[in-house]
Amino acid sequence: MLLSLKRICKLGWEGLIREKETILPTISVLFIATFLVGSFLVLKKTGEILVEKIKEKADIVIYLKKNTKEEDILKLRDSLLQIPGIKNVKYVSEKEALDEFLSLYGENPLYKESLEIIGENPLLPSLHISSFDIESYDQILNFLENTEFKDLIDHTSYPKTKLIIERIFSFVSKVEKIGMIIGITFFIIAVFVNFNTIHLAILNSREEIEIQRRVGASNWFIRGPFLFRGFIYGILAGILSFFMLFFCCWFFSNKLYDVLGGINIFSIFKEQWWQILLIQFGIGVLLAEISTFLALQNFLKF
Amino acid sequence: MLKFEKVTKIYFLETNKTPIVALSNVSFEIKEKEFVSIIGKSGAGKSTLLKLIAKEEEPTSGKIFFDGKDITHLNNSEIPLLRRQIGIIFQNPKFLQKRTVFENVKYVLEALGKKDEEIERDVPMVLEIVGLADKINSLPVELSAGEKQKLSIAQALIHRPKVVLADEPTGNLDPYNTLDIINLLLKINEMGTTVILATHNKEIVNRLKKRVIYLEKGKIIRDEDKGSFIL
Repeated sequence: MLLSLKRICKLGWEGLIREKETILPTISVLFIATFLVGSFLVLKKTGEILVEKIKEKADIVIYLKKNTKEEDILKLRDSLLQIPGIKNVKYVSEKEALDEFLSLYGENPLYKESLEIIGENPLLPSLHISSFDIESYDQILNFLENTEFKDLIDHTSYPKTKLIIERIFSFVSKVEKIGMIIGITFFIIAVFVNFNTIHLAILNSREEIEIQRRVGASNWFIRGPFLFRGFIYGILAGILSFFMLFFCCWFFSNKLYDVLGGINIFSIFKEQWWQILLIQFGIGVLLAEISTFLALQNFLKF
Repeated sequence: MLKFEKVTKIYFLETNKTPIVALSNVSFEIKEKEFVSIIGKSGAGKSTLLKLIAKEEEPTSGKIFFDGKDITHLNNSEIPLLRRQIGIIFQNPKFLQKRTVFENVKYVLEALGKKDEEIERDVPMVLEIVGLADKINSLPVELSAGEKQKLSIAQALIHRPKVVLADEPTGNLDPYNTLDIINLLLKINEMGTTVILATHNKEIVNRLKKRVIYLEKGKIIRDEDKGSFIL
């Protein structure tokens, strides 16, 4: 078994060197396919991080009527926390709201003067719902419209983030779908193109195959050297596309930093590099092996 | 050793599906260590018969037995096992052109998973038998037609087959080389290997004085123990 494997690798390597003119066209197609897959992974992860970032910023603020009892506000807060998907509801009293306002704008003479003219704290107590699942947004709105505490609510500030998140979700989902379609299409094209280049390489080795068949070598021994070559093609394409993706992420990370709201795609690449490398290797090898296997079928018919 | 039972082989032309009968209702038996010549005109069915034995073709009907086992329909994993018991020699042998004589024979044993020690021992031995010991490091392109055929015989013999199928092995050779190859086949037969020789060379058949099966239009018209070339 080990001896056969050693010979298969040796024959495969000899074949690869002998048919070196097939290396470039085969690897080029595999390279494009594996590069697309790698780029798709980085893009997908970027989309996910973008959505998470926006989700973190999303909140709903419920402003309560002046002089509402703190006891009632806390009851409303507890009820809100019962809604699945809501992780955090923060109560900000009138005084806390004023303190925060002063700490932010206290130095501004216009605001300061305005407060003095009013003569009392004009700010309302509020409940801040943050870090909620976007899916529970409608449930929150429904609750606020039908709650027994409805009379306590002065007004509610609804975020625009829902729309933004929905758009990003839709964008990411579209990118995933388009990526999938492009990926599958390219996978099929790559199999066909590789099928032809590998078929050519096999044609050059048909004497070898004929001798092997004639003396009763097993099909796996005949396939082995070609599958070994396919493996090498896949690995080479994986390495090339990995380094190309590394370069692209590094090169575009600064340029896209602001566009992506502070997301560094090079950091994403660095965090996911081993996963990307493995998947690129896997796709490269899989593609090459499928093409090789199909190309060999005609030569192994008894 | 080998038995054909009412074997028929019909090919269908790809263009208009016209049936062409290559073998029709052929039955015979070949015993172990026999030397049998299959003779007949071109298109008589000689090569088809050998291809059926080597499982390069499947019969349309009838049964074929090898060593008592029905080999009429074998699956893909069983065919290599059968072929390991058969050595095949063609009129136009094919070699790995960039490999030496030694490597071309060695390659066969490597493909069959033989150990390196076994290869180093057997390859020079078989090259000695076929008379190519002095050409061990030559490339196939450097060999004469007769030597190429000897190399082909060495490849067919190296894995110690039970039967050697020789399909017009002297077709491209001059009388001297022809004699050489036939003597070699006789030697192989004397060493205990069954030899089935397909030929239309009258001199060879008359000289051998061995069993002859006459084929005409896919049918056996004569089967003689010590036949001569009569058509």
